[in-house]
Amino acid sequence: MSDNRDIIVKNLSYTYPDGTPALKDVCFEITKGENVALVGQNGAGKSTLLLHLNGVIENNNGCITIVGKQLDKKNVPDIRKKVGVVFQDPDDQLFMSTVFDDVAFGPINMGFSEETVKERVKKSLQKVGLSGFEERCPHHLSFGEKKRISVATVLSMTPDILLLDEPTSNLDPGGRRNIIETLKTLDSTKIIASHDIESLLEICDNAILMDKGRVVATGRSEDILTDIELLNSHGLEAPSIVKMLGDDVIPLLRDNFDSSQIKRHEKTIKKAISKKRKKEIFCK
Amino acid sequence: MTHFDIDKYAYLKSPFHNFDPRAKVLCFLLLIFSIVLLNDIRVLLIAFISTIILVLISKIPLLFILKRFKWVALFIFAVLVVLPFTVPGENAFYIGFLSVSHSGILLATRVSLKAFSVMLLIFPMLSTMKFVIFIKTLEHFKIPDKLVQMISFIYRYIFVVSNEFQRTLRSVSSRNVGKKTRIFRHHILSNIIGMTLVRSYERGERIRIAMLSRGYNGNMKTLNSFRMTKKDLIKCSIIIIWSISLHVIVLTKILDLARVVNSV
Ligand SMILES: Nc1ncnc2c1ncn2[C@@H]1O[C@H](COP(=O)(O)OP(=O)(O)O)[C@@H](O)[C@H]1O
Ligand SMILES: [Mg+2]
Repeated sequence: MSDNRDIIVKNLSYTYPDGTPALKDVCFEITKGENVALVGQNGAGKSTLLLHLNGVIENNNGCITIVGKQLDKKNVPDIRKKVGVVFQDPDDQLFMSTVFDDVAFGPINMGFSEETVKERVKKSLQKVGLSGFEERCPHHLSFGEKKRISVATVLSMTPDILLLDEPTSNLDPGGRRNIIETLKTLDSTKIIASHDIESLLEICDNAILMDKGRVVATGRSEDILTDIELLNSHGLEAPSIVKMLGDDVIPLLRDNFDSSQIKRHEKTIKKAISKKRKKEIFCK
Repeated sequence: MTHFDIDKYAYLKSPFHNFDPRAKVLCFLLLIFSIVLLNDIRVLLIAFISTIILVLISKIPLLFILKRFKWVALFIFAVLVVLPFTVPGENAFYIGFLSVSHSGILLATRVSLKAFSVMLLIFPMLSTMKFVIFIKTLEHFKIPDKLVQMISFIYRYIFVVSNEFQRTLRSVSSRNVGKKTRIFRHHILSNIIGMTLVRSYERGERIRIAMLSRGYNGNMKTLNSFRMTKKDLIKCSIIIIWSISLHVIVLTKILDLARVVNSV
């Protein structure tokens, strides 16, 4: 069996102890280096699914394989080293009193030497563009900074797989842009659960659409995340044309929309893209 | 929003600011014990004056200290007022029909000198470093890990929780018009407190998950880079010698000697 598959989930079902069904017969596979968007309305089961993938939720109802290892009780410590999770609320993620201690927490628990830990902290902070923040306290950071430090706390463990739960929620446009650019530079396998379809289009190759605990569609993110009907029927909203104007969407734009539609938004489009790109679209 | 700001002046520069935290805490604890054990009122006075000198050296603004002193001062004041009247002994004088005893006055002075000295010493000890460093110092002293973790979490989350509480309070009070009976208000307040507790519990659960995800296995290790230098040793020696000297003064009765010599 060829194994460049990082994550295999088979027939995963889960019901919370209080009886809330959260996952129903979930199946999917993710290959190495793939960036996957996990979309679905609130309560669809995205967070629950992510918690399964690093063994925080114990569940025998289904089968999860991470980087060739089946997830079970004795594998959990190993798998947690391979799978980094960035939770939605940075105040949950950053539980230590200084940024340094927080970013060092994972590597220290992994048993690295002092030197290695320091180096890892430095590198991770560099990657999220916050070098020099080592001695700061989390309660004196802006929300956007906290989010990026949260990513760094996981990067310092150099995971093969990165799970992010709503990385762009509650951020102002600048903070959101920062996080998106940071995520784009990371080359690990990623699953990003989010409602921010626009940013997912920018980062992700593939998408998984969930509704009420089930996977209802999988495919290329350009297909899934721009399918207005599909998204609407599951309580989500496709981005407007203008919102889609990331670099890779432009060819798609040309294929999917006729010139009258593009003309209608001409003004905004012109503003949004460079002259060269403009020629490509309008001189068809 | 009020902030926990005992380490507000940790950025200043003074001989205590660049003192190795472990040595600093140990030395000051020794000095505090030494002062608490003193009984001679004259030596206590000397100790008190030396304490003030230490505070001045630490450059912590006096106003900052005085503000934090309010409540302690109130307590000491209460002791001061009560003791002279209640401790039995030779009468010094009368206020109205109440007799004030000599030994009462002495005791009150002793107690307040000790209390003020100890309180003052907290500042050159704790306010000259970041609170985080203090937590690490505790960790270093092999204080039980669980206790250190608890202090550390309290420090980290006290604002988060109090913010949550205030947010709920605001949202409730902005919607609450009309009915303002006392019982109704108590009802609302208890609701808000309950809600904050539930939220904190849920947050605790989420934090536990976040910790587990990053390999938490029961102990919370951090790196610390404490280093003793020659200067630290010198500072240590001075404080230790001073702590001992205070008792040497008492034991050798130097102060009495002076009086004897004078009278001769
Ligand atoms: N700790 C919990 N206990 C009980 N039910 C929960 C818990 N967490 C989530 N749920 C329920 O599980 C379902 C899926 O939730 P979640 O995975 O958080 O969805 P999403 O992240 O997609 O918004 C929801 O119906 C939610 O109410
Ligand atoms: Mg969620």
